[in-house]
Amino acid sequence: MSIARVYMYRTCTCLILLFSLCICPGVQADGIRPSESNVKSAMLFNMIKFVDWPQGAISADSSPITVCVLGKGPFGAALDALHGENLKGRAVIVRHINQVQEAGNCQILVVGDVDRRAVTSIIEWTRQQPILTVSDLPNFAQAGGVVGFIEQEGKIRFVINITAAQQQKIRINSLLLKIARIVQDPS
Amino acid sequence: MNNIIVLLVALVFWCCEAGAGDTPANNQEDVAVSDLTKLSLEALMDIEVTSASRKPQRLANTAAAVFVINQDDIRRSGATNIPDLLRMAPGVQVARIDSSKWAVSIRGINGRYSNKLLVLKDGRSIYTPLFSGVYWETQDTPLEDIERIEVIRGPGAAMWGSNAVNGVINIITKNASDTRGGLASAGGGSFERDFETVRYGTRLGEESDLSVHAKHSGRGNGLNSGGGDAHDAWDIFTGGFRLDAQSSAGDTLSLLGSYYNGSFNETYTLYHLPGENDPTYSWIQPTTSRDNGGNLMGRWHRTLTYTDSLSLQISYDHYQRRMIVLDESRDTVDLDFQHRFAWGGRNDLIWGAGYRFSHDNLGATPFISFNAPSKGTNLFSAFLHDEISLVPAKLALILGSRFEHNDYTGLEIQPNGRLIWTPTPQHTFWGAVSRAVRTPSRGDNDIVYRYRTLPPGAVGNPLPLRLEIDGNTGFASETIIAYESGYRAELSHHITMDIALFYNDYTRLRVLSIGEPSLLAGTSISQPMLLTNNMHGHTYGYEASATWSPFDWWRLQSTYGYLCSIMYLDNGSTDETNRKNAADGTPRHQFSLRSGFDLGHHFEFDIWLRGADRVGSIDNVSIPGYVTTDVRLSWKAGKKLELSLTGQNLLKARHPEYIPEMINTSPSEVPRTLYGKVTWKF
Repeated sequence: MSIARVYMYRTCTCLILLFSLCICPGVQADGIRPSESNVKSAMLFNMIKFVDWPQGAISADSSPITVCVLGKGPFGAALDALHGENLKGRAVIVRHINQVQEAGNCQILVVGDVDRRAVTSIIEWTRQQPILTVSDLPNFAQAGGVVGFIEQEGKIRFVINITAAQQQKIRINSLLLKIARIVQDPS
Repeated sequence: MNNIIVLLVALVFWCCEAGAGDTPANNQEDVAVSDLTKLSLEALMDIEVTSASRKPQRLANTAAAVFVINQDDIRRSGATNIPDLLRMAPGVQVARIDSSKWAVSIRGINGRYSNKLLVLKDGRSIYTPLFSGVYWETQDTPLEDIERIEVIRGPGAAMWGSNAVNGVINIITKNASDTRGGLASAGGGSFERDFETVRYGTRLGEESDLSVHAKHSGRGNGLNSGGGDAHDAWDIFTGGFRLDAQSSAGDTLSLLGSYYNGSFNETYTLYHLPGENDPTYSWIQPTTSRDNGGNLMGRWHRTLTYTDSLSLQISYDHYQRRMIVLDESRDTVDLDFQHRFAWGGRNDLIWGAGYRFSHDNLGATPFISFNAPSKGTNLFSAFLHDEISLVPAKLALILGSRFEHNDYTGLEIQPNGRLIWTPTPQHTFWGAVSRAVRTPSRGDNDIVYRYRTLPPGAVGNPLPLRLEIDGNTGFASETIIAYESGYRAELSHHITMDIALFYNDYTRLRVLSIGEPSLLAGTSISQPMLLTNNMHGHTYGYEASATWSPFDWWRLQSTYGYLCSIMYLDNGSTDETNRKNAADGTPRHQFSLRSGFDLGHHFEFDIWLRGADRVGSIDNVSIPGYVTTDVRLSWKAGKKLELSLTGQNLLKARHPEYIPEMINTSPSEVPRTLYGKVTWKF
């Protein structure tokens, strides 16, 4: 190939690059897609309506619902937007905690990115507590958590472990179970 | 030229700065939670989301140099085959030899028959025990089916087993539940002659899915260095299925199968002794070689608790290849069991055991034969791997070792120790020391390869001299002790970076040693050259990669790799050719820069600029370095249809990348190509 042609191709490449860069900022992205964390947060908010805690786990009808967040990650961070929201007369409080022992007064415990070993101890600790455990960690519900979020074909689905829910005395409305994937503990 | 680059960079920044203000909330395009809570659960379940990739999070916990190529990277690369995709990963050397052959290695010692790499597809090893390498031309999985490719640089033998000396490549296909519905794609162009894929996935019941696919690919003849037809066209049909089922008790069951049937043109230079009617010593032979094979794999996985799980995997593989130099057929059965559990609060243990039996039939030709034409080999293995949390979530020590027993060298112990420190979730430091081996292949032990015939007088010989490469039943395992360290950082939501350093110490590497010549029927001399472990050496270098998403619609990824390789011959070996192959057969510098734009109106525009330094010596031939560019433009017409146009290697009409060592086939050059593709989902 001649030198002239080499330069011609180089120039063309440069021009294409330049052209594409300059037109980019002017155009809009195709329809805005929400982030998975925001969708999960909204789903969790809507799920609360289908969940009943046993007597004593939550006091008066007007007392707030406390969502505790353990561990970092985008899902936990997105939940902050629910703080102060109102759900059937109850306020939603979002609290970030550092260890599972602080979750005693929480109705919902969201497990973010934590060490694998920590997940097992969290599940063990909440086993006898009326706390709805929720996480988007893989296999969370299969491993004994109550609600696990999964992504499938770009959409968010949820898995409910009904054995765990029963053990923890949390009643989940059948309407919610209908649209969830159900797992049971092997025992 | 430098001035032009400076000007270009300045313009680019100016354009972006000037334009940035026009894009509303340019970095945070999202829908507020408060707006989403107004929707019903069913409506929320129907929304397509953008993934705030968990990849860096998961990578942050790995004490090894890992690079992940995900489906988005695959689709936007415009690549049509797996070796070309691997060019994205730092520290991976990919060089095309002809339409159907590649030389692929990690951290050096590359070649058509490179043997220090373990390649797994869905957890099943796809290297052949014949030469411990991979027939890349038979791996034509539809790229749409691949979920991700994990590239691990450095020894992975403690976990994955022998041959993971310089690295592990793990090709992971999508779960059948992620490929529901139909997909048909077809395309073709100037060199990527034509390719067609059909895939259909359906639910079989509440918790199980089946996906089936068929693909055909055809690549045309390339051009050799003189511009002539290289006679290297390649054609393959692949079909397969995947069944995934899960029980409500936490069990998952996967059944995977595939079949392929292909042909590839090759041009051999073959040598013989001159006869009465034929005074020549060699001739050029264009041929068409054929290969076909299939495999079936089943995997069962049970989740016991979050930290405890069991898995069992069984696979069977059969293939055969018919070439002018060799007929090979092989059957392999593999069994693998793993148990993962937490112990004592601080230990995350995995242990496992495996067995592999591989049986071959190697049909002799005038060029290659094997001392036992048929042989079965056993491989027993067991491993233990413990991740010990020293400071919870901050500091962990990983100790592990694999114990293997093979029929050639007996017991092999491959331990490693790793330390990982994550002072904050955004920063990870790690270091590792490992020992790994490349166990002898069937070829190393038993091959008889009449490699070349030299006319009288060529090296002072009075008669024709036939050079013969002979296997060595005393061949030992090639050994590496590797020292590595690395740092990974998520500097902001938009910038991630990764640096890894390594020093590899090799001993007992393979070279040829001159044996005793013998007289053949008084008319020629046979000069045996024995495969021996007479080389040692070291390599060192580093790799760096960074991703930067200045805007939601623009993503940049750059990688750079540096490698220095120094090799020494031992015990009086004079095999300079193979020493130089190991020392200079890999480029010192490599880089890749990819830019992906979402142009809006459903257009995507991708540019991939990459280059490699010269290859100093491969069978005493040097190959110049190159810089090349791929460009891809695609348009989504609604949710169902995507049209794309890809130009590859645009900067030059063609460039050479490699030549094959050992087996004398003619290489071709990498041509400029242009192809179009239509993808339809139904």
